[in-house]
Amino acid sequence: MADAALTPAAPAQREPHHFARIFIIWLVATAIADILIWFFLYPHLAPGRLTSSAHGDQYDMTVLLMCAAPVLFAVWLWFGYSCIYFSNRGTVPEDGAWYERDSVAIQVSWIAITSLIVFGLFVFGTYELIAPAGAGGGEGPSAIWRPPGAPSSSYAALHPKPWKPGSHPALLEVQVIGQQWLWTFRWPQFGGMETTSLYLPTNTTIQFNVTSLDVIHSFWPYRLGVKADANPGVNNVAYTTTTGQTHSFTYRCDELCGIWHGDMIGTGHVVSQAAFYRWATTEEKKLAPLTRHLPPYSLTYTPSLHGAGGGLYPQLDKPTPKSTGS
Amino acid sequence: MAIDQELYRPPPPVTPPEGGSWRQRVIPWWPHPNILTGILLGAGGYALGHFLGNVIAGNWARFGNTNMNDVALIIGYLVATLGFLVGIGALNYPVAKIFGLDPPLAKAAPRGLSRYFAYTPDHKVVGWQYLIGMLIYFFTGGMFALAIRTELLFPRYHSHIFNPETYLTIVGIHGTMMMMMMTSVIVGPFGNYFVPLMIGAKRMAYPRLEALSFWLTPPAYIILLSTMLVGGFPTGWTGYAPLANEAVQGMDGYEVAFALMALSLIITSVNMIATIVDFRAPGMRWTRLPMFVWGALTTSVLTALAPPVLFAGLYFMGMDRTVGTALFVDAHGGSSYLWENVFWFFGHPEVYILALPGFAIAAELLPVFTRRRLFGYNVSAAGMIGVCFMSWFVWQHHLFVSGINADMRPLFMLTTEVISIPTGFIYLVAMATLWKGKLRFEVPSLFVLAFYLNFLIGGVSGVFLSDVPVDVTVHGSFFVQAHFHYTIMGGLIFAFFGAIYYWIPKMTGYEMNKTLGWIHFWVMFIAFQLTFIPLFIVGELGMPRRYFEYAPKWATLNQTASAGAYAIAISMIIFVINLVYSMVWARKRSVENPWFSRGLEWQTATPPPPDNFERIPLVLSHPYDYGNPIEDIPVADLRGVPTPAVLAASAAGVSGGSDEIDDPPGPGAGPGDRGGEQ
Amino acid sequence: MSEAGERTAREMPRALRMGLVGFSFAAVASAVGVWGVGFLRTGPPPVAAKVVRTASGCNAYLTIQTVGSIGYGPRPSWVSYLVQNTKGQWVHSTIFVLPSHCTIHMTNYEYDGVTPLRNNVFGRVTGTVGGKEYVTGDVGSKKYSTSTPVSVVDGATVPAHTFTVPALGINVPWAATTASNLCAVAPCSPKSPHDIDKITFKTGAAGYYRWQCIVPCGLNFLDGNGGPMQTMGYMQGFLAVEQS
Repeated sequence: MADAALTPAAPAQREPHHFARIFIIWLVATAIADILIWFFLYPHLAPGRLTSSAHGDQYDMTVLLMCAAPVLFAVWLWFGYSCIYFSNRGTVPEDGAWYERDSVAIQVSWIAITSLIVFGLFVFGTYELIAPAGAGGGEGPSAIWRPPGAPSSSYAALHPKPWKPGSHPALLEVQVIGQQWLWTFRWPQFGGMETTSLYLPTNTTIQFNVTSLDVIHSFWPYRLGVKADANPGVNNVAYTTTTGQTHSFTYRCDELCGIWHGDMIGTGHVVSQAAFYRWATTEEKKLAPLTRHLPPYSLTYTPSLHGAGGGLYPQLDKPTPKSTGS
Repeated sequence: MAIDQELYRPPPPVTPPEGGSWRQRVIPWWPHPNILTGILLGAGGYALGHFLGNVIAGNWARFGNTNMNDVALIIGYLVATLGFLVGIGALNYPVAKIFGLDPPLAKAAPRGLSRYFAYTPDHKVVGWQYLIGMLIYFFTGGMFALAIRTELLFPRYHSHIFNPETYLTIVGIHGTMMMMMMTSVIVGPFGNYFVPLMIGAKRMAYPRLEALSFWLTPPAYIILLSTMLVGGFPTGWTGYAPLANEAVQGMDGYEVAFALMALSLIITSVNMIATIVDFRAPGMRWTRLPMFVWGALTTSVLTALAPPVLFAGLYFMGMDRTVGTALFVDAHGGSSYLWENVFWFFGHPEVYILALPGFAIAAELLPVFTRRRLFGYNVSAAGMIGVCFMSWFVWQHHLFVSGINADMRPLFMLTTEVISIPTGFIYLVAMATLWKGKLRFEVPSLFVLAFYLNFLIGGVSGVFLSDVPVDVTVHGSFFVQAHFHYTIMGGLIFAFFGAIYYWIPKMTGYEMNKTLGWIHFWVMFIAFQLTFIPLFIVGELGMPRRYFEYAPKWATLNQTASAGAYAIAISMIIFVINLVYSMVWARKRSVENPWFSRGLEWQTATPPPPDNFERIPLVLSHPYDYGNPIEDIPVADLRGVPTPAVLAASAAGVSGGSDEIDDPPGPGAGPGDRGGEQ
Repeated sequence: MSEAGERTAREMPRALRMGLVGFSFAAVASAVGVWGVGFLRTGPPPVAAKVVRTASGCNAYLTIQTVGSIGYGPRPSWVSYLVQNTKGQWVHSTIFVLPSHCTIHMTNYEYDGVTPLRNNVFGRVTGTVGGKEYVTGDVGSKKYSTSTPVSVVDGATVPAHTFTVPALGINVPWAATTASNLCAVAPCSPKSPHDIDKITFKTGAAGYYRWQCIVPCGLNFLDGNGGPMQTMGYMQGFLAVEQS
């Protein structure tokens, strides 16, 4: 956007080169900001680097911030500069410069530059979505962007290979069940047991199969860089790979689900593979009396409506097995 | 000469009949439809509707077991609304016409202050009704925002100000009030008041529809607030099913209120489009249309097409909750995705319905205060048209992590990012218009500058949300909340206040106090940043929206935001004080055109006379040609009768072309076509 | 005001009228606002448990009952909890005030009948001392005439409600009577069929902890999870653990 392109109708007095001034300040400010973002903000930026998808989200966020900084500075500087140099603080209005025609060059270059940024960001975002296997977002029942070793069909997901500690452990399937207002977890590789606590092994690719028993929830273990809506009757798959670091993380519900939405949280733990295996096998034994009462492992569940919620659709409910209270 | 001089004959004077005003002559005041009869019939209608609902569904087992008869409540709301509209006289004219009668009480149109409480087809009165109504809705919604920020003063494990379900209702009413009632915040007051003035018409195309569009909003407001009395609704303004199917009776109020508001929006937009297309004065070519009118037009295209989709969704929800369909119930073959898609197919154009009027106000006001020709008129209009068009193709970015159409995410990432190109046009126009202008720092121009700065942050953060990997982290968090408050509160509401300060002198003939306005602006601007910048950070750190409590480590940031919210409330009190002081107490006469604007609305008398213009004006030049050193053509010839000299000047005008005066006068230009009369 | 001279005689009363309209509007609005805040803040009253402090430590006794339909008020058919205050009166509330770092002896008189869980994982007792609850009455088809420990129950045939405090890890499915002539008006007479369920748990640091019932017991609401299941004072509440 050369200043000269805005051809004034009347010959102007000798003026400072406003555009060059703004450009130089902008260049310096942008360079400083981008250096600060890359070297100081990036390592600390949420959601951290504890899983592959979290690191990917962090990297994306950083790149976007580095693209946003020049845009913000350009507009702020332009507005600030205009407010100082192209203003009239007197009481009598004066006319600004007159331009007979709007410069086509400016308009075309503006459109070109913004389009370039936008399409660049699109290509970058798409790459960052596809390459790291869906970037931790929920991909629905049949994920098309999968990490290596992920089951490619519902049948394979229902019958996963057993999980054992090792240098290249098998993919770990964790079913996440949202219900008003608690999260529970089922483990198809450990006898289909269901726990209320969440432990994950290090250095393992994890497939979260997220579903809901009632309304829409959203499973958000923030530091794992995973978010997947829990829809009733839908298996929503999300992938991530843990690093070698052990840590604790909070998982929350991210979709308004009723009175205790704000307290539908819990703490999960990433522990060493051996510790995880110990925990899982112990729990499997301990929970055996409970597991008997659970329905067989499945990717979605439709709880019987013969409880108190029955009666809303009486003609569609299964026959009530026995008399119920209120 | 294509212009028929007969058309410019002054309208015949309207005189009251012998023996004083019509009111004394024809009928006493009390049987005349007014707001009291409206309220009376509304209450009666509610009782009747509720009774009918009980007759229909009173013995349905499930309503007996839940102690909540949704059928009775919905029919009650609907008949109450109908009763209110009958009571206020909305049906007098159409019903009388059906039977071929003269509309009853037509000549007793109220005058004085009481006309502001009446069903009136006068577009300026409706504009005022909208303005006061929108302010009331805005302040009510603001109170709920304060309640939210008060609850969020304290983190988890602390005792609570409100019950959690009450908190969700507060969140829901705040959201619904702001996103549904406030949708008309600019097109309602300023669109109805100024579009005819800006295009040189005497009235809107459908004056009675215009009145109806406003008088649907008070019932919607009351019904929305009444949800608190029947248990509230837990879903927020997005009303996600199947949570909405589970909810208690408050959900019915949400449905009916939102549906009434959708109806109001459709009616407003049909009226607005017809007026802008058909009622432009001679010479008001599309290339001379003020930016505000472009904004009203593009917004109206969206409000004509988006709310019907919502209406369908609300109808589905109403059916699910009353007669027992299962459209959103997975166990019986419905889908929770259905509501999400239908709602956001409405909901994303909806947020541009809230953005476009802000663009329009800003582009309209900026040249006035920079005293410089608006740069890139075509680009500016193209930006608004582009946003209007593109807004239909982005809705699934609300569902990036929902698991639906995962393979379509790159496409919706692209469309969402592409919409920032036309939005960028708005910034090109602003920046180039500032360049070598002579910007004056009046209160309205401060608000306009703040609009650009706030919307910039809102828009850039929107690009973050459109990027799927980043969205995985920030979706549904306070980051999103801060983002859309920057676009709507920082954008639209700042533009709204700028418009109030800019146009109130025109509407009343009195000045707003400048010092108080200045204080209002700075308190609001700083408090706004103080409120929402911390919310970007807590969102990025992982705090989801609509939480009634949060981790103790986020307490400082949340308390800062709450302090900012209270400061915004203080700025609003300053505004109200300014409004009351300037309009009721000080009443300092404003000069005719305090901003030296070229806008057509400023060329007529202040405040505008009943018919806006004595004659339909002949528009001669572009509204933003400030400081033209070559030939200073006035924006319009208000004398209406075009003399050969004027026509010659027009023909040689800036835009050139001889066809401009061949524009046939719109229907609004007809003699004695007094839209203000019933 | 210096501008007074600019006012015409006609404008004065108009300004006055506008002022009056504005003032009365402001008065009505503030009255509605004050009432509204009060209305929104109404909720169930906090009810304190009976606390006994001895040299050996702190013990508190919390007695509640669950009734299938509260029988009075605006929602007479809603299922609800009631709690006994220190005077022995039954109060319709779900906010229990407990001392911190204390052993709580909780007794539930379960007057409601069986409602199946949506997820049987909550048929397991957790977070109580010993991971057990002590039931007198029906546990499914079994009948216990004396207090009997139970740790896992079949969610389809045993519980009426649960007492679930996620932050303290507590989940107790209240075993319920299988009789059909259930009490329908609170507070229920001990003659009505019921189970007596007892648990002991320990409170930690002071704070507000939410608790919920996870049995879908909102009769005729979708999934059984509406109405009383989303209203404080019925099936949802807080443990207000106060510094002792």
